[in-house]
Amino acid sequence: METKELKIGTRLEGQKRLGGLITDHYNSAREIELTREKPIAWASTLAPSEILWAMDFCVQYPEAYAATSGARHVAHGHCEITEQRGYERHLCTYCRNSIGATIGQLEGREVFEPLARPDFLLVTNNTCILITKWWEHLSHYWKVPLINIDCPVLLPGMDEKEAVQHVKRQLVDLIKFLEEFTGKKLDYDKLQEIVAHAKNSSDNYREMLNKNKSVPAPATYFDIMGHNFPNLVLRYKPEAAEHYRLLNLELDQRIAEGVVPFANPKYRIYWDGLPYWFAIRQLSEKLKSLGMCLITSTYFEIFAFDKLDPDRALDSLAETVATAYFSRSVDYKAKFTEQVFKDYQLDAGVFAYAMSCKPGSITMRYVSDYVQNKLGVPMTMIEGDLVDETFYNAERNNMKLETLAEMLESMKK
Amino acid sequence: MITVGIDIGSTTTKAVVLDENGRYSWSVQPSGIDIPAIGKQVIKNALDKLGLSLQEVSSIVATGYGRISLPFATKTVTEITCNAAGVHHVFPEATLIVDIGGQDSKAIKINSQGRVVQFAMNDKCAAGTGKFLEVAAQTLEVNVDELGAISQESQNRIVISNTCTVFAQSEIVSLIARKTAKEDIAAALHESIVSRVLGLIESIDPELEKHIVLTGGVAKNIAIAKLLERMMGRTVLVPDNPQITTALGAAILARD
Repeated sequence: METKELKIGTRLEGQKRLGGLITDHYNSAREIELTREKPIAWASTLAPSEILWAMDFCVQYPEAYAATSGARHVAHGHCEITEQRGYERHLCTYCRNSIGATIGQLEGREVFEPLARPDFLLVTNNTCILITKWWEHLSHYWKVPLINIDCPVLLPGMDEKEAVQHVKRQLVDLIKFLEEFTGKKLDYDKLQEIVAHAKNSSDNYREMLNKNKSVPAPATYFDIMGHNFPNLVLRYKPEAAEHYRLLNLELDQRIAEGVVPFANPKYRIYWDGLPYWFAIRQLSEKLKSLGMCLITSTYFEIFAFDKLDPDRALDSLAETVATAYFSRSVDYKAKFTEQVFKDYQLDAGVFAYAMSCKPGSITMRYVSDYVQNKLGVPMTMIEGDLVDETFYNAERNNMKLETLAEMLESMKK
Repeated sequence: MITVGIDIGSTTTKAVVLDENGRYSWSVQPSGIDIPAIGKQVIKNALDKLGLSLQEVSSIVATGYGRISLPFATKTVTEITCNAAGVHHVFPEATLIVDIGGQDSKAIKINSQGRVVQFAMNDKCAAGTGKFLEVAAQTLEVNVDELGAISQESQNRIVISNTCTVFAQSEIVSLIARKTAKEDIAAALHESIVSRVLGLIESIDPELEKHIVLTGGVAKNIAIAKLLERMMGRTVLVPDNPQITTALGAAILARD
């Protein structure tokens, strides 16, 4: 990677704005919990929340809460509560964090900034297969109804249209249920309006991701990672699209002025898997010391809602849910990742195996080998977990990252 | 140019001194808390063997987990890169290395220049490492260096099902209580280690390479090499001093 005269950027201005959006969101939810002016729903990441928003639910995301718990180093406490109740330690730690925080809330124990209590739970299995069982337990603890939208794994040769119809039928049933549950009819015009906002937000989100195709990149993957929050949680509001619009202007300015996230970025690196939320600072420092600039990840695809179309609100919602990246086959993911390496001009890959996330980690070896064999780029696999710090050994991972840097250096000779 | 490579592992610290004629000497001693002091001592021991002093050394490369703790090292390089350089020096045709140390086992693919192309390590678990044999030897009340020879006397194949070092110890105690022969237990332990390592090898080399090079402290156990050969159907080469190959590689890289 060429290095011309580059300036080192400070923290993104958009970070402050993001902080404000997050604070407002959670404060608003807590107020609604007290006033009960709206019903509260918990939704999984790729659930069709547009329907919930259109029916005036306040929507909360336990997975986002787990990520924050990990980043704030409080997940361990929640997980301990779960283990004390006999849940197995090797369960998904998002699940253990969530169940632990729930039990803690219900029993008046100390829990980190608990989510507003739900009246309804909506889960989809298009991100993983454990999630349905996890949410079944949440439903049991909260004594509230749970609906699961079933999404088939999209294996080669499957009729995707049929999968979409399968999901659409369930969305129609969901709407019927919610109308009975709330006593109100779904306003389809409002649904269309919300899908329009969501599409606008998603388009701007995708543009944000594309900024890192620039060489050099204006920000690292860790810098922009947290900015998935608006598209996940707030895309029904114009503020989400506006946040990305302003962030994109900021990134464009950095690109024009040659601003880079740290001194001497030598290598453009891909990250596979979910972040180790508690280790972001340590990994950032380590990667920076090695001249490795994390550029992008297929993790971003979880928060992309590219197929939304207000002119076909319900159909496009069904397509979005049914054809989520994580429902795709391993071959699809391998080829997709290969394309990402080409589009973003990546030099190497770091595959972040998560000990408690088997569905997310199981494809890593295959994808890593596939891309390495196709493109001749070096890879390494590090170990850790989403939020459980006991599964993490910084020194072992540091050694693997250093070895990757040595491999890249030797390739230059 | 005299260079030094020092490999500070979890169990032992190894130093190799390499002179301008390609001669080298080495020294090994147990690792400990005072890494700089142990490092200095083991380097001195290796220098003494060639009649050299520290002042004559041009460059020191430190590797292993303790590499960041040697203030007098010229630079640090990971043990994977060092091991590759060391093996390439000893076996220039080698393309696949298996290194079994005290707490790590690694499979490393290298190119014709001795550069690392791909690598895999054991996950955060001591199964398939020297620690597994060490704990087992203690339980069997034998010296760990004797385990290989004892295993060769086995007449009946049994299986140690636990891969966890701690739970395997319980399993060994149960086997002893049932009067299982020590030789059979030792053989099963070796098979357990090699099975774990096979998984690592296949993860980076699903197609067969011609031969592999076995390094690390556990490579001194000839039974491991023989079993690996048998289970893989491939030739296993072991350097004369497999425990110091990484330190040798570090000394070679110190010339750069």
